[in-house]
Amino acid sequence: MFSLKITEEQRIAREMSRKFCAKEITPKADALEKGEEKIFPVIRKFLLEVQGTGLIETVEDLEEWVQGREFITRNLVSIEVSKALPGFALSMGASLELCSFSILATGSREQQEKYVLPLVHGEKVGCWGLTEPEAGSDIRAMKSTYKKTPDGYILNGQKTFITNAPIADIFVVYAQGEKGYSAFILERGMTGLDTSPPFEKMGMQSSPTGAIYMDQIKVPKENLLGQEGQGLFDAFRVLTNERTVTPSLMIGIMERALQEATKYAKERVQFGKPIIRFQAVQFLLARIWEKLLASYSMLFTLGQMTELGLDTTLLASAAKLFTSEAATQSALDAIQVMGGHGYMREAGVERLARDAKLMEIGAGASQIQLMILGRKLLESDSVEPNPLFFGPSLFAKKE
Amino acid sequence: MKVLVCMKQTPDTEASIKIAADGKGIEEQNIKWIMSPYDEYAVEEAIRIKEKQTGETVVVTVGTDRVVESMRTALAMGIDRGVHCVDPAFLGSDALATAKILASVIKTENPDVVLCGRQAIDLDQAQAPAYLAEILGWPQVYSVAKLELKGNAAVCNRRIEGGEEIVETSLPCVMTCDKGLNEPRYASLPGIMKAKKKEIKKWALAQTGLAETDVGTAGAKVKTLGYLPLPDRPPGKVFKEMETADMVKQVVKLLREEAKVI
Repeated sequence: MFSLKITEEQRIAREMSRKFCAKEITPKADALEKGEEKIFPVIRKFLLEVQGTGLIETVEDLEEWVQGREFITRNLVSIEVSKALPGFALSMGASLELCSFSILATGSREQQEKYVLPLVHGEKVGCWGLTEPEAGSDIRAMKSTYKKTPDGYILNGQKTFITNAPIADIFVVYAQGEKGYSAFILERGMTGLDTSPPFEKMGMQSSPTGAIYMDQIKVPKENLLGQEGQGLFDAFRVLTNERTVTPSLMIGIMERALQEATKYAKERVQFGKPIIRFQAVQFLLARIWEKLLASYSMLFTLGQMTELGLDTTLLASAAKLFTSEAATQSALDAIQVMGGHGYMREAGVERLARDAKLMEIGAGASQIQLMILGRKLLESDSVEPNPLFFGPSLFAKKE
Repeated sequence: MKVLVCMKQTPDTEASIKIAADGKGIEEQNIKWIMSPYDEYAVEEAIRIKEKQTGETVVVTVGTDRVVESMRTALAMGIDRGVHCVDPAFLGSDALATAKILASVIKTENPDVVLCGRQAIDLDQAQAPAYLAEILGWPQVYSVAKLELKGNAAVCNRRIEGGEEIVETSLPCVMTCDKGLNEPRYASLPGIMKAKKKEIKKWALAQTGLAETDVGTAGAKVKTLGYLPLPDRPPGKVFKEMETADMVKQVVKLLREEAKVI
């Protein structure tokens, strides 16, 4: 069963993703980064024309689609997208891998039909709100509250650093109430729901990030997502998914960094020869490739474990930690190879470093991933270090 | 309406082509192969015709096993099935020999319309469609930028110098597709998975009804003697350490006398 042999279908899928990026994203990348062009129409085109989500008409189709998505193909496609523009991959991920995923994981059939279908078609934009001004890594400190009323809930509070918040139509947010932490689905237009304009930030500029304001929002009963009180457990599951999809985003950045720097090193002549002939430069490039290959290995292992139904939480943490740090370092090394040219915005490599840095922070900062691994060592009498011997997934298939 | 597309696999437009050591071909390893871009218009048009008025679409390719991936891409875009003409005897076919092989498939398939790309982007010969029409005794319309099927006829807009020409032809016919005819779709992921199950029939010399001397190197009327790389560009001249006005004089002089461009 275990084979990483690339199939014809996977090859074609990668090619199509590449083709889409070359035609639809790369020529607009600068305009998208500067906000002169909007990201979501392009994402929508990608979903409909490359992912073929237009064929998903019912919840049954949706289930079939989710089951049929094969790990390697999915990742090959995402890597190409990230290579072209990481911010594109980020915004699409927030809508599908966070917002949609959370509703697919614990939502009712009605919720899936109402919210997930338009999200996968790219008709609606989704975002997922967990972080608050005073609750980042310490998520239990969240101040957003919900109160039960006869016909639903009243939500109050604020979320921040939320990808897609300024443009979102559908919001999944977490709040604290009598029974603990719970998740709710909000829709733009609900009285009391507002968002900030996009924040100015270091990187990922094509992907709008902002705050969600909740002021006495009346949320109907049917918009409770999952079981009341189970919110944080459910959020943890979404975070594990996010950490599982992060490596492809980071691999895209590393591949691009390696390609750009290698091309430059072959063209740039100093001391009478292309600088790639100097070991000092070769070593910088080789270090990027080393990290890239290690990232691929982690990704493949994650894929195999996911398909085997093994618990991926620890490896997902480690992979998210490793690949995000590796991507930032690789992008910085690529700039170093390219010298002054690499430092210039025009070369497009400094953007990779700014983009990569986000993933050392989002989806749980690197230090949180280290704590997850560290605590496991602390709390278990004897730890199984080999991922292939890990137990079954905590999130076994929904009945 | 049954539409048959003749497709060729070519090196990627961005591939850097190196001539093989024997000078008789190109180095085929490490090259990315794609469906010739003009053939993509043909594939897209065939799919659109079927979407509009039902029927069947078939893609036909002559080539080694390597070409199956491009055929599969056409199937993933939406073509119904494929015929892969593959036989050691086909190797070295020129455009005429290739057209004979394609015609043998077309005679069996009996389509209403045969669509080809305007030319393959590797050898730029644009010969096979014309040969094909001749062998079949069908009309041929070259370089179609707009196509409308009306019953048993087709009205085509052709790109010509400075404008367009509108022609009408009876069916069946051979048409070659030009840029602007349509915007080829991407093969979607579900399309790619569906294509896996679509049939690609093999078509060898025995099925063509042709003799071994009709095809391949033996049947080629035009023999390729060799390939030459483009000559290296001479290094540029740099003028420095003189007044700008003098530099300009020098450059203009050389442009006039040496390069003879002004």
